[in-house]
Amino acid sequence: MNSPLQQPKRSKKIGMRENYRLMTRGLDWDLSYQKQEEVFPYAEFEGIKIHDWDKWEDPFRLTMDAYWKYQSEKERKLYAVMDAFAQNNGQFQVSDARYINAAKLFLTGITPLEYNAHRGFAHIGRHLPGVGARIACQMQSIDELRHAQTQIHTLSQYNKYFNGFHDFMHMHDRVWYLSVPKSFIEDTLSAGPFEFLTAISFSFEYVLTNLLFMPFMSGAAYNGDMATVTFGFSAQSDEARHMTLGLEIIRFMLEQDEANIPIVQRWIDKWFWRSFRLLTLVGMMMDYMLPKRVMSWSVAWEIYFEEAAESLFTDLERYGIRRPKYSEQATATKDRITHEAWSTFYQYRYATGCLVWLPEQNERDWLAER
Amino acid sequence: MLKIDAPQRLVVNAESVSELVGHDWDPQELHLSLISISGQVYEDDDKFELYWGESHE
Repeated sequence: MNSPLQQPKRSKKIGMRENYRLMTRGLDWDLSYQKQEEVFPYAEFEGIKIHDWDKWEDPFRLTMDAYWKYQSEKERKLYAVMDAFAQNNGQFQVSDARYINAAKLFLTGITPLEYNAHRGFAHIGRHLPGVGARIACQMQSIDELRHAQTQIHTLSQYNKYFNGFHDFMHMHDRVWYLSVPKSFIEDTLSAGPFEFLTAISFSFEYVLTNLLFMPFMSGAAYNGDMATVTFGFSAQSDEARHMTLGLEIIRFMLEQDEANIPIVQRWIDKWFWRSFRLLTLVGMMMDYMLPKRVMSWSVAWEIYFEEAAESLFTDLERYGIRRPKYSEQATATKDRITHEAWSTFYQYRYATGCLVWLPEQNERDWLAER
Repeated sequence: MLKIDAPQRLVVNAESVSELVGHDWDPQELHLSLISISGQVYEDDDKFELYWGESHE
C-alpha cells in the first residue's frame, strides 16, 4: 500500500506535551471550607517538603486516553496466547513437571504483592496533594490490579491439572517463607506515601525488578511455559513505565528541598535491603527449580544489580545520594544465598507450598561451574 | 527479547521509525513492547530519548 510516492507524512495533532498539560493540570481546586492538612493528612508527617507539585512530570507524558488504548492492546495479545495455551494443553508441554513448582512459588509469593501494590497506589493516589502524581498513581494502581488478575487467570489453567495452586492467598498469609514477601509489602503499605513510593517505585521497581521478571520470564520461556512468558512480558511492559516513574520520584523529592536528601537516603538503604532479602526466593528458584536453567543467580546479580546500579548511583551522586548501605554485603552473598535457601527448604520440605528435591548430578555440575 | 546498550544517550526518532515501518509511528507505541530501561526518559511527539546526566538537551 505504501509506494514511495505515497510516503506517509507524520500527522500533527495536538502535541504530546500540550496534551499532557491539559489532561494532568488544573484538574483540582483550592480548598475553601476545609483545611489542606485535613484533606491530605499523610502529606507532611514523613518530613518530606514539596514546594511545587507542578514540577512533577511523568516522563512518558501518558494520559488516561492513551493509557486505555495501549493497555487494551496488551490485554488482547495476552488473552489470545492464554486461549491457545489452554486449547493446546500447554500445561503438559513444559520441560519437566518440576517446573510447575516455580509457577506455584510465583503465585503464592509474587501475585499477592501485585494485588497489594494495587491497593497501595490507590491509597496514595488519593492522598498525594499533586494532580500529576495522583494520575500516575492511578495508572499504576490499575496496572498492578491487571498484573494480579492476569497472573491468576493464566495460572488457573495449571490449577485444573495440578495440586497446590488452590487458595494461594491463604498460603501467602500463613506459609513461613512467604512471610518474607508478605511482610515486605505490608510494611510498605503501612508507611507514609513518600516512603511507599521510595520502597516500591524506586528500590523495588527501579533497582531490583529486572531481577524478578527477567529470570522468571526467561525461565518460563526456556521451560516451555508460553502463557507465563506472555503475562510476564505484558506486566513487564508496564514496569518500564513504573521504573521511569521511580527514578522521577526520587529526583523530584531531591530537587524540591535539600532537607529531603537524608530522609530519602535512609529509605533507599532500608528498602534496598528489604527487597534484596525478598529476592532470595527468586534466586533460589533460578538456581534450583528450573529444569532448564537460564543463568545463575550470581550472574543475574552481576548484570542486573552490579552493572545497572553503577550508572544509576553515579548519576544520583550529584544530589548527594550514595549507593544503598550494605549493598557490598548483598553482593558478597551472590554465590551462596540461594544454596542456603534451598537447603533450608529441603530441611523443612514437609511445610512448603511446593515440592523440594535434591539436584541431580548434572545440575550439581552446572552449579559448581558457576 | 532484544537489549540495546548505548553510552550516556539513546535516541529513537519517530521520523526514522515511521519511514522504516511505512506508517505513522507514535513514540508512545513503545509502551507495548518496552520491558525494561535504565536511565532517564525524555519523550515528545518526535522522539524517545534515554539518557544519564543533567538534562535531555
